[in-house]
Amino acid sequence: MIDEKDRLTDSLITQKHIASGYNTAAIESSNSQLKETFMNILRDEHQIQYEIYQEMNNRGWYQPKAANVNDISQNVNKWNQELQRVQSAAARQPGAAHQAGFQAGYQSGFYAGAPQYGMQTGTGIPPTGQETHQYRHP
Amino acid sequence: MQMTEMELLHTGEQLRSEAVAIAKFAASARQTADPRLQQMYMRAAERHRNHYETILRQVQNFAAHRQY
Repeated sequence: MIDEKDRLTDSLITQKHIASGYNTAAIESSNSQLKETFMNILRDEHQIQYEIYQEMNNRGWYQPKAANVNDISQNVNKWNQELQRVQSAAARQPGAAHQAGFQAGYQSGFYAGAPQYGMQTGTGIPPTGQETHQYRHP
Repeated sequence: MQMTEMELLHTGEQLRSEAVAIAKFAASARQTADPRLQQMYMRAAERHRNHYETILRQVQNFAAHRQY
Protein backbone atom coordinates (compact mmCIF):
# COMPACT_ATOMS: atom_id res chain seq x y z
CA MET A 1 0.00 0.00 0.00
CA ILE A 2 1.36 3.38 -1.02
CA ASP A 3 1.18 5.91 1.81
CA GLU A 4 1.75 9.67 1.91
CA LYS A 5 5.45 9.28 2.54
CA ASP A 6 5.88 6.88 -0.41
CA ARG A 7 4.03 9.27 -2.68
CA LEU A 8 6.24 12.18 -1.67
CA THR A 9 9.37 10.05 -2.04
CA ASP A 10 8.24 8.94 -5.48
CA SER A 11 7.57 12.57 -6.44
CA LEU A 12 11.02 13.56 -5.26
CA ILE A 13 12.63 10.82 -7.37
CA THR A 14 10.55 11.89 -10.38
CA GLN A 15 11.76 15.48 -9.98
CA LYS A 16 15.35 14.40 -9.62
CA HIS A 17 15.16 12.36 -12.80
CA ILE A 18 13.48 15.10 -14.84
CA ALA A 19 15.88 17.79 -13.57
CA SER A 20 18.89 15.68 -14.56
CA GLY A 21 17.39 15.25 -18.01
CA TYR A 22 17.04 19.02 -18.45
CA ASN A 23 20.58 19.61 -17.25
CA THR A 24 21.92 17.18 -19.87
CA ALA A 25 19.60 18.58 -22.53
CA ALA A 26 20.76 22.15 -21.80
CA ILE A 27 24.44 21.22 -21.79
CA GLU A 28 24.11 19.38 -25.09
CA SER A 29 22.10 22.10 -26.84
CA SER A 30 23.77 24.17 -29.51
CA ASN A 31 20.61 26.13 -30.23
CA SER A 32 20.67 29.08 -27.81
CA GLN A 33 16.87 29.46 -27.65
CA LEU A 34 16.36 25.81 -26.84
CA LYS A 35 19.18 25.87 -24.28
CA GLU A 36 17.54 28.85 -22.58
CA THR A 37 14.18 27.06 -22.52
CA PHE A 38 15.72 23.92 -20.99
CA MET A 39 17.53 25.98 -18.34
CA ASN A 40 14.38 27.93 -17.42
CA ILE A 41 12.43 24.70 -17.03
CA LEU A 42 15.34 23.17 -15.09
CA ARG A 43 14.99 25.98 -12.53
CA ASP A 44 11.25 25.35 -12.23
CA GLU A 45 11.87 21.61 -11.75
CA HIS A 46 14.23 22.48 -8.90
CA GLN A 47 11.54 24.65 -7.30
CA ILE A 48 8.96 21.84 -7.53
CA GLN A 49 11.51 19.43 -6.07
CA TYR A 50 12.24 21.79 -3.19
CA GLU A 51 8.54 22.20 -2.34
CA ILE A 52 8.21 18.42 -2.12
CA TYR A 53 11.36 18.21 -0.03
CA GLN A 54 10.06 20.84 2.38
CA GLU A 55 6.76 18.99 2.84
CA MET A 56 8.72 15.84 3.69
CA ASN A 57 11.10 17.72 5.96
CA ASN A 58 8.19 19.38 7.83
CA ARG A 59 6.70 15.95 8.49
CA GLY A 60 10.01 14.51 9.70
CA TRP A 61 10.20 12.12 6.71
CA TYR A 62 13.38 13.54 5.21
CA GLN A 63 15.80 15.06 7.67
CA PRO A 64 19.37 15.03 6.38
CA LYS A 65 21.95 14.59 9.12
CA ALA A 66 23.95 17.74 9.84
CA ALA A 67 27.68 17.53 9.18
CA ASN A 68 30.04 17.62 12.13
CA VAL A 69 31.51 21.12 12.58
CA ASN A 70 35.02 19.71 13.08
CA ASP A 71 34.70 17.72 9.84
CA ILE A 72 33.70 20.90 8.03
CA SER A 73 36.69 22.91 9.26
CA GLN A 74 39.08 20.01 8.56
CA ASN A 75 37.76 19.84 5.00
CA VAL A 76 38.00 23.62 4.57
CA ASN A 77 41.65 23.47 5.59
CA LYS A 78 42.29 20.64 3.13
CA TRP A 79 40.53 22.47 0.28
CA ASN A 80 42.45 25.66 1.01
CA GLN A 81 45.71 23.72 0.75
CA GLU A 82 44.52 22.12 -2.48
CA LEU A 83 43.72 25.54 -3.93
CA GLN A 84 47.18 26.83 -3.00
CA ARG A 85 48.80 23.77 -4.55
CA VAL A 86 46.90 24.21 -7.81
CA GLN A 87 47.56 27.96 -7.88
CA SER A 88 51.31 27.54 -7.38
CA ALA A 89 51.39 24.84 -10.06
CA ALA A 90 49.59 27.23 -12.43
CA ALA A 91 51.98 30.08 -11.53
CA ARG A 92 54.98 27.97 -12.59
CA GLN A 93 53.60 27.98 -16.17
CA PRO A 94 53.13 31.66 -17.07
CA GLY A 95 51.02 32.01 -20.19
CA ALA A 96 50.94 28.24 -20.48
CA ALA A 97 47.55 28.19 -22.17
CA HIS A 98 48.99 29.88 -25.26
CA GLN A 99 52.13 27.79 -25.61
CA ALA A 100 52.52 24.68 -27.68
CA GLY A 101 54.02 22.73 -24.78
CA PHE A 102 50.99 23.34 -22.64
CA GLN A 103 49.01 20.23 -23.58
CA ALA A 104 51.59 17.77 -22.20
CA GLY A 105 52.10 19.60 -18.90
CA TYR A 106 48.38 20.15 -18.55
CA GLN A 107 47.56 16.47 -18.85
CA SER A 108 50.33 15.21 -16.60
CA GLY A 109 49.37 17.63 -13.83
CA PHE A 110 46.22 18.35 -11.94
CA TYR A 111 43.93 17.45 -14.80
CA ALA A 112 45.48 14.08 -15.54
CA GLY A 113 42.74 11.67 -16.37
CA ALA A 114 40.60 14.31 -18.01
CA PRO A 115 42.48 14.95 -21.28
CA GLN A 116 39.24 15.80 -23.12
CA TYR A 117 39.46 19.33 -21.68
CA GLY A 118 42.38 19.92 -24.02
CA MET A 119 40.01 19.44 -26.94
CA GLN A 120 37.89 22.47 -26.15
CA THR A 121 38.14 25.64 -28.16
CA GLY A 122 40.40 28.17 -26.50
CA THR A 123 42.84 25.72 -24.97
CA GLY A 124 45.21 25.37 -27.86
CA ILE A 125 43.16 24.52 -30.95
CA PRO A 126 42.69 27.61 -33.13
CA PRO A 127 39.03 28.50 -33.80
CA THR A 128 37.84 27.61 -37.29
CA GLY A 129 34.59 29.60 -37.24
CA GLN A 130 32.70 26.34 -37.78
CA GLU A 131 32.17 25.49 -34.09
CA THR A 132 28.46 26.20 -34.13
CA HIS A 133 27.83 23.74 -36.93
CA GLN A 134 30.32 21.14 -35.87
CA TYR A 135 29.33 21.10 -32.24
CA ARG A 136 28.88 17.54 -31.08
CA HIS A 137 28.94 16.57 -27.48
CA PRO A 138 31.30 13.75 -26.51
CA MET B 1 17.57 28.64 -35.93
CA GLN B 2 18.91 25.14 -36.35
CA MET B 3 17.90 22.12 -34.36
CA THR B 4 20.30 19.20 -34.02
CA GLU B 5 19.46 15.50 -33.85
CA MET B 6 20.74 15.48 -30.27
CA GLU B 7 18.33 18.27 -29.34
CA LEU B 8 15.44 16.45 -30.96
CA LEU B 9 16.36 13.31 -29.00
CA HIS B 10 16.50 15.16 -25.66
CA THR B 11 13.29 16.97 -26.48
CA GLY B 12 11.48 13.68 -27.00
CA GLU B 13 12.96 12.24 -23.82
CA GLN B 14 11.95 15.27 -21.73
CA LEU B 15 8.44 15.41 -23.19
CA ARG B 16 8.01 11.75 -22.33
CA SER B 17 9.10 12.41 -18.74
CA GLU B 18 6.84 15.47 -18.50
CA ALA B 19 3.84 13.49 -19.74
CA VAL B 20 4.43 10.82 -17.09
CA ALA B 21 4.89 13.54 -14.43
CA ILE B 22 1.58 15.20 -15.39
CA ALA B 23 -0.26 11.88 -14.98
CA LYS B 24 1.61 10.96 -11.81
CA PHE B 25 1.03 14.24 -9.98
CA ALA B 26 -2.64 14.31 -11.03
CA ALA B 27 -3.05 10.78 -9.64
CA SER B 28 -1.27 11.77 -6.41
CA ALA B 29 -3.61 14.75 -6.03
CA ARG B 30 -6.59 12.37 -6.26
CA GLN B 31 -5.11 9.82 -3.87
CA THR B 32 -3.84 11.98 -1.03
CA ALA B 33 -6.01 12.68 2.01
CA ASP B 34 -4.03 15.81 2.89
CA PRO B 35 -5.54 19.00 1.39
CA ARG B 36 -2.19 20.79 1.54
CA LEU B 37 -0.47 18.02 -0.42
CA GLN B 38 -3.41 17.84 -2.81
CA GLN B 39 -2.85 21.51 -3.67
CA MET B 40 0.86 20.94 -4.14
CA TYR B 41 0.33 17.93 -6.42
CA MET B 42 -2.25 19.80 -8.52
CA ARG B 43 0.09 22.75 -8.94
CA ALA B 44 2.96 20.43 -9.84
CA ALA B 45 0.83 18.68 -12.50
CA GLU B 46 -0.09 22.09 -13.91
CA ARG B 47 3.53 23.24 -14.00
CA HIS B 48 4.59 20.06 -15.81
CA ARG B 49 1.83 20.65 -18.35
CA ASN B 50 3.23 24.16 -18.90
CA HIS B 51 6.70 22.72 -19.46
CA TYR B 52 5.33 20.27 -22.00
CA GLU B 53 3.51 23.02 -23.90
CA THR B 54 6.47 25.41 -23.78
CA ILE B 55 8.81 22.85 -25.33
CA LEU B 56 6.26 21.65 -27.86
CA ARG B 57 5.51 25.22 -29.02
CA GLN B 58 9.18 25.96 -29.49
CA VAL B 59 9.84 22.83 -31.54
CA GLN B 60 6.71 23.55 -33.59
CA ASN B 61 8.25 26.95 -34.34
CA PHE B 62 11.45 25.33 -35.58
CA ALA B 63 9.44 23.00 -37.81
CA ALA B 64 7.24 25.82 -39.12
CA HIS B 65 10.17 28.02 -40.12
CA ARG B 66 12.16 25.16 -41.63
CA GLN B 67 15.41 27.05 -41.14
CA TYR B 68 17.45 23.93 -40.64
